[in-house]
Amino acid sequence: MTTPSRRRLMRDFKKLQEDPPAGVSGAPTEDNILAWEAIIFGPQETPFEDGTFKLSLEFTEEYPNKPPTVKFISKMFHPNVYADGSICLDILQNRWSPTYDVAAILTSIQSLLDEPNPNSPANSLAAQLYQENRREYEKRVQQIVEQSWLNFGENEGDAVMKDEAPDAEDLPAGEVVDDQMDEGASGSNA
Amino acid sequence: MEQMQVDESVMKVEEPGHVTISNDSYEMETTTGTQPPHPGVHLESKTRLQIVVKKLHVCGEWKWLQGGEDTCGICRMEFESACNICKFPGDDCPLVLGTCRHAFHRHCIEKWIAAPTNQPKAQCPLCRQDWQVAEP
Repeated sequence: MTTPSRRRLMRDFKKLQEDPPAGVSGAPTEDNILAWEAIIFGPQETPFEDGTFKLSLEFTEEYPNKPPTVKFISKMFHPNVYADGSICLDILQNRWSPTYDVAAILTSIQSLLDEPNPNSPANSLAAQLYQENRREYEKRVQQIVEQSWLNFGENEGDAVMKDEAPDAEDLPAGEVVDDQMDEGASGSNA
Repeated sequence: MEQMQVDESVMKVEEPGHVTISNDSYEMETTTGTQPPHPGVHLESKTRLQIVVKKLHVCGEWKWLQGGEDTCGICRMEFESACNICKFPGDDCPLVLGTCRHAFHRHCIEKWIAAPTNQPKAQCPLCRQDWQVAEP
């Protein structure tokens, strides 16, 4: 069944593939174009650098007149991200415009990572450390960056085992994760 | 792109390369070549030529005068394409221009204005000024 919102999402997907913004990627799930999964790479030269953060985007038939519900699946430590992964970002709420598309949403969230808005804290500890103890803040961010690699490896594990099973056996588990990271990092530069 | 066929109209050759179509058949005098094929023999002739166009293919292209080369920011389709709601482009799916000079497919901007979150006043999706339709 095609509806206006589904047709719009197909165009969003086509645009993401033909003109991919740096450091973000996303695609609809196999059986539902209203449910997307996305990856945001942590921006370079920020505490989030090298992180591979997974997100889910849930659209409704009101899209693009209503924003999708966007959540981090990977663990996040950020002043504007709630414990359940939901994001406090004005363009996803009262500043939404129907001219935004998936690429715009993902790049906005990517830039939010290093430009938190301390006026609307969703994680009060992250907000406090960001303002009062930047070193501790960056240490906590580094922890979730490292966790994002583990989650990334777990979720992609099936495909890796099928395609690279002989090589994977010879390597310690940690190095398998590193290999995945290299792929991810080169993807973000492309 | 539309194709039109003109049958049995008459083409008038005003000057080489320029053709107009009139209701009357056009007659013209033939002038025999300046180089007669048979040297030494040259007969005067006043025969007249009539051209009747049996079939003519005309290709047309249409474009909204407003909107420019852009796409509709809401549905991301070209202005000359149908919006996400319509099957066919054209008069059924025109553009609406705001006082801010931003244009959208009528159906796309109507849906945005009607959204419950945009009551009582909707803003232009591009510049966030209060949306108001421009005087024609």
